Amino acid sequence: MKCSTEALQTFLDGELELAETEAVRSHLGGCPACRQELSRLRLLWLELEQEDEVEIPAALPFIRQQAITKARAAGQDKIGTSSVSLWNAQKLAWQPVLAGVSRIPGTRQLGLLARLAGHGLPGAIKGVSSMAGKIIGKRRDRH
Amino acid sequence: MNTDAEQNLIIRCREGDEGAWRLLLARYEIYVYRLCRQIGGSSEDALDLTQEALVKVLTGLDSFQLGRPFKPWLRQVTVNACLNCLRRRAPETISLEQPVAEDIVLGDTIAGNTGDPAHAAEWRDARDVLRQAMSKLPYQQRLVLVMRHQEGLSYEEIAAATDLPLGTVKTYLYRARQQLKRKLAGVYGWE
Repeated sequence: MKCSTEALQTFLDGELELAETEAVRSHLGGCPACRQELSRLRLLWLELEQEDEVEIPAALPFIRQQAITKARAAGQDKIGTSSVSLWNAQKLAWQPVLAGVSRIPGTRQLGLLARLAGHGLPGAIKGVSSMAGKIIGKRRDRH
Repeated sequence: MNTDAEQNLIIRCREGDEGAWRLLLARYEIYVYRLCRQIGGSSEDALDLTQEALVKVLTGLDSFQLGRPFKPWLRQVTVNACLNCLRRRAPETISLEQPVAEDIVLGDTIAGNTGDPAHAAEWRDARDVLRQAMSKLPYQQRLVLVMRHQEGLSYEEIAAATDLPLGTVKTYLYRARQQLKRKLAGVYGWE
């Protein structure tokens, strides 16, 4: 095995396969330069693994409160969006019911009444009532 | 707080109990702040990153699987929040993989003074030197260093947490450490 800083780093990380680890150990036995490099890397590892003494800022509780306020607002936005969707969903759900109402016998009379009153029927009712009228008319003819 | 008590606290948080939110954040805000400080590289950035991370924790609790340990999930949310912020701030990036000469890419050349004799004579505490050097690393290299040396993750775990290929994790670790070792060499007078 040739000298390799990368291999030494991976060796220190414990991330080499067994055979590779053995190869590095064997190499270290005969290479003072790599042994020196390894000791320097160990020192670096020690420094990097020290828990950093981080000064905790006094503003942290304020940051916590800000985060809660933002999360609350985000939650309310989500409910708002859902409400609008619920309303649209309800309108969609009722449409077949409204169309179905127009199948009730007497829809032709509804049309007559609407004309007498000077108002038009809603499109869904008008269409179905006209069809209902044709069907009822045909049945009467049959009889 | 034992595991069951913590899981109950998380359930209350999911129900929108703001008292529970306060308790959960108070329990973990220092850990989150420390991680943000390390990944962000400066205390100036750390508070902004912390706030972003804490909001994501509260609004993302539905994605946490009850019964599993909370800290790894918290770490992932914090890492993601930091990366989102840092990527937004990063200027139009030049790839570190861009070749500049045979066998050398741009990332290999990012360094401070390595052998400046004016600095070699001045003793400075190794921790201070390393802290300063880490703050100057590209954030991706700093992130993998923190994941490895502070959080104790394996290479594969780092790759999963940072969404980087395994080879890139190894490359970033190697480059970051080489840079930091050069700084230590200045402190200790290594040849």
